Amino acid sequence: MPDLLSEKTATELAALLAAKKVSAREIAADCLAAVKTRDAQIAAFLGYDAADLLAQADASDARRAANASLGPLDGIPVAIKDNIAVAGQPLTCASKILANYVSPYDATVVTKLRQAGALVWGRLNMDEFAMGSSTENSAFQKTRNPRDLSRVPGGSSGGSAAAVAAGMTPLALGSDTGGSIRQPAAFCGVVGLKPTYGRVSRYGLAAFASSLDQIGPLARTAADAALLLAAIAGGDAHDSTALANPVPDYAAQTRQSSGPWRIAVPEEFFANGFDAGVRAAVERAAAFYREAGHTLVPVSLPRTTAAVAAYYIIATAEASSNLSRYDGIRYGHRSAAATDALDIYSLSRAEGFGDEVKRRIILGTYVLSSGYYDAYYVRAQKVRTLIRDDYMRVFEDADFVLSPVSPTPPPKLGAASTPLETYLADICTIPVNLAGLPAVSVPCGEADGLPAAFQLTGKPLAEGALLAAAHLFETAPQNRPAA
Amino acid sequence: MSQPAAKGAQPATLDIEHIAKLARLALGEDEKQHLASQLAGVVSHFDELNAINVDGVEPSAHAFPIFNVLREDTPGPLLDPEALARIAPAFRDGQVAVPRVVDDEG
Repeated sequence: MPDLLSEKTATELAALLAAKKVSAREIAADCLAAVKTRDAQIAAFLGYDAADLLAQADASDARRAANASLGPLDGIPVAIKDNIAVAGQPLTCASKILANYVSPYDATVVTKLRQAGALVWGRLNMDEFAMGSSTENSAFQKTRNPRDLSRVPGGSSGGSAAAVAAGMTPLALGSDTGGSIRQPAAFCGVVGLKPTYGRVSRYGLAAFASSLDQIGPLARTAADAALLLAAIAGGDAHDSTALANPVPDYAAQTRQSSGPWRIAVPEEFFANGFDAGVRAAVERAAAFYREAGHTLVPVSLPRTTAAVAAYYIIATAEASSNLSRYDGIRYGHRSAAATDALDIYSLSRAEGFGDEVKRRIILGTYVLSSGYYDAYYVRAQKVRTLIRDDYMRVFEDADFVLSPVSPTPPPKLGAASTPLETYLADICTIPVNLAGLPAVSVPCGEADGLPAAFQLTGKPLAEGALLAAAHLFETAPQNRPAA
Repeated sequence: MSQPAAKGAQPATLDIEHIAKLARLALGEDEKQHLASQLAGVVSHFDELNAINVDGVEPSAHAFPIFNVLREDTPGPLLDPEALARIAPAFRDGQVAVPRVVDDEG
């Protein structure tokens, strides 16, 4: 099926809409057509409300006809990861425990998207409660990588990355606690941005690890990611950690900033154990920036390995606390076998949660339990301070840190690995969450026939510069994929 | 300098039975054994943090030190009670219904 509007970039669609060459209804209809023909294979969507999408499109077209367009996103579809609340729509976190849940309110990012006129649609598959990096931990379905159907799309925002990569929606929202936007973006060959911690409100995002979670854009280009970020960023009375700093014009910064930049290249991310193809792709990206007149700075981030342990202590501790709300009382699954209140808690949770979620609840409860709290949780929080200090020291002499996104290309579906091996594969992405920094995953051709990507990490609130550097790379003629 | 993983000189052990009870998670025997063997490797990886000197380092609860965020205490609409009733597993007379937790007197 050639030339569906859903395959175009949001920037192209915004221009077509502004010139009245297409309608929002035509774009929405093409998204639905793409899902109908392609998602049987990909399985990115847990569901969608076609009538609601078309009604939003018609409202957008009516605004445009009345010269009351709300901006560049007015009429552009944005599909939503299934852990972000949209009033009146299901929200399952790909978990049986929320199989029948319907959101009673809109997340702040959804409210902001509606104010920008975007068409909010779809429930995108994910690892259950965002715990995982392959989307295979979904209780409902396995999503396939559009670039190679035998492989995983990454995770936890695997549905979001696959939907954008397969041309079913121009834009999607994901969430990133330890790499859950950047790694699937890398695996599927799209752009994924994790904003600075606090840049985007978490109100209405089902909490996994509150001190690490951030909502962010998945898009086909850096310019598209800039459009989406500009719409969702900003302070929020519903989230005391949302930063009130003014939201810059990210789209303009993406087009206009050009450095010259100093780009730090940490030796720890080019160590043994990293796939040779991945390493070569990232080295090509580094060479591109050097040849474009930017300076590469070799550095060391010595606490990189320790970050994995610190992350899995902090993230599981916070998860065990956050997920205590799923108790079978006020919402979510309630066990039919329960006869008293304690049974309701422990049976409903046992029946509702999948294996990985149980593993992390047990780990998190353990590290917070009496006698272990200081040895694990407090120590991990101190290591987090050191990791952030390491980055800030590097940023005294550099604008960005360049690294791989994942040590390996996308694995085959069902490839066996132990939980520890799976956790260690997050080594490139989790230090960034611990340090609260913004980072973008940028596609850079192929490694062994599979999508390759590199990661740029920036100073706090440097999203505009990061997207500009990504834009510079992806618009250089030599980096464009062969047509 | 290496330190014991937890209070006391015992190496860290994961008492799944106890932890599952704290977590209000009913686990079958198979599940408990499976988790214990899987998590032993993860917990010993956690112990690698003991090699890092954290003397005098302040713990950070999150990446940005933001304190005392206040807003006006103004009344506003709450969530729609009907929407909340729809998602409750059991609902009766405007309230979430649960099994009896207190016995009748006498």
